[in-house]
Amino acid sequence: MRTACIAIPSFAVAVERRADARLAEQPLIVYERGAVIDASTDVASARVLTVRQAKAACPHAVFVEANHALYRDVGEALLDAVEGISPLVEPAEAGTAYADVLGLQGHFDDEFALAAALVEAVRAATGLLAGAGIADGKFAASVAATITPPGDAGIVPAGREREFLHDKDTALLPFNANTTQRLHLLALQTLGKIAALPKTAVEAQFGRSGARLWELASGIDREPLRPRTLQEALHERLSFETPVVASEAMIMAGRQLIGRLVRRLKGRTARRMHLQLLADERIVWEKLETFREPTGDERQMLLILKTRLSLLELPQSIDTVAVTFTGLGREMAKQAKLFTDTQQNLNQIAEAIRQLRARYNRPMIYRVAEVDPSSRHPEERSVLVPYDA
Amino acid sequence: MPERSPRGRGGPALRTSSDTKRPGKLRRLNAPRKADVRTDADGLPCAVRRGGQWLAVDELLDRYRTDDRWWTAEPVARAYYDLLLEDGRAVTVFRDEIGAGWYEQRYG
Repeated sequence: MRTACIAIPSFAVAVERRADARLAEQPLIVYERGAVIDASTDVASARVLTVRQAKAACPHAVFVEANHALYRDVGEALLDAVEGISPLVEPAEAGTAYADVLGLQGHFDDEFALAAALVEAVRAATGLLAGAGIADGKFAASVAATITPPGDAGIVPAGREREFLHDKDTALLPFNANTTQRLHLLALQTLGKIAALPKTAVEAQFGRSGARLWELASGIDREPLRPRTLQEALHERLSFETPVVASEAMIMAGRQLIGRLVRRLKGRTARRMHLQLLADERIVWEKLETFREPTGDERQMLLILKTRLSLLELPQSIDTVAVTFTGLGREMAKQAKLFTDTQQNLNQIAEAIRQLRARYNRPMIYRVAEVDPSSRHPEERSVLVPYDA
Repeated sequence: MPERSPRGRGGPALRTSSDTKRPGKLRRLNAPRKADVRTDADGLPCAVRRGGQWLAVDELLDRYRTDDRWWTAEPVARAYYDLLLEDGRAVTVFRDEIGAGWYEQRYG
């Protein structure tokens, strides 16, 4: 399958620099909860450090706390841009996407022109330069994109993936650090060395993942592209003129937002409610609530909102409340009772069951009775017993 | 017919719904059904027959074992496999380690 990979290198750093031009020329480290999650190339060694270690090792660098709301928005813009060229787009890690480009070549002079169109679409949508790779399979395409300078494209001719991957580092394989370390201990630093081994030998050493490891190193990539499915979402946000810390104000804002969203539901239901509190477009607190069953009940949603926010102790003030509904349903999913359990109905049901038994000379209606609900074997947990037994 | 224990400990190695499918008696829910399963060289399931058609296993989602009642005359030992088949369906099968057959486990 002809696949394109579009990747913005050091995504978090790139987004932060786009948001604040003053950071463009400075060594930059993005962190979250005491760990470094990204670093600019001039302080790349900090990527594996804790914040405390990084501050000691790179005292001259600027430290910025991760802003996932912003990264999510830019990531979505990237996916939308690529979808403008290929309808089948799979989101990967932040700032990276795969696209099925089989059949698109006819629309462009060659694959370089196709890759250039992808890079340009992403630049226009996000203001960031991505690298693009095109190959048969996601892995070879991602390696091509990774080693290609931003703004450029790497094309692997069909069928030459094994040759292309031959001298590439095994650290590029999508396996955990433990596997990479074991590969290095076995003196398998390049993908070509793995491909040169018999497949069974790699399987013997690495178990089930050994087969995939050998195949990827050999340029065989069977993993299908899993395109994202567009989910309808309803989003509302409300910003305060001055930052607030009182939960009452947040609840008032949330009440307004939920009211607006329920009106926009127009009788439909939502499965999930995403609550966010932001300060300067950075997420201070967020919670994804999944309802027990899809609902359009404003009171139920408000109760959840109040429960979550009333006891909240925030580390700082916030200036925006945002609420998003997802998992929208076409109809109310409340299951009505099959029978209303009035005595008259119950008597009628009992009589119908009695007549069925008389007609067929055996029980026809059963009910479920628990026997051993905690059994490890599902067939021992419950039995069917005649309804009138 | 339910499979009998090759070890001759008495009683069926695995009971299925047919054991209790008599009028007026209790009927088990989610009783395992005999399944046709092909295995690879490692003994792992690689295809399952559904509706007369062999479906390849796309992904082995999980595997686990249960050993129970080993202190009785009717011990239970099963190797469970949660599988994703090529048609997108997820099924759970197990190998009866005592009776040596394959079964599909249903959950209600």
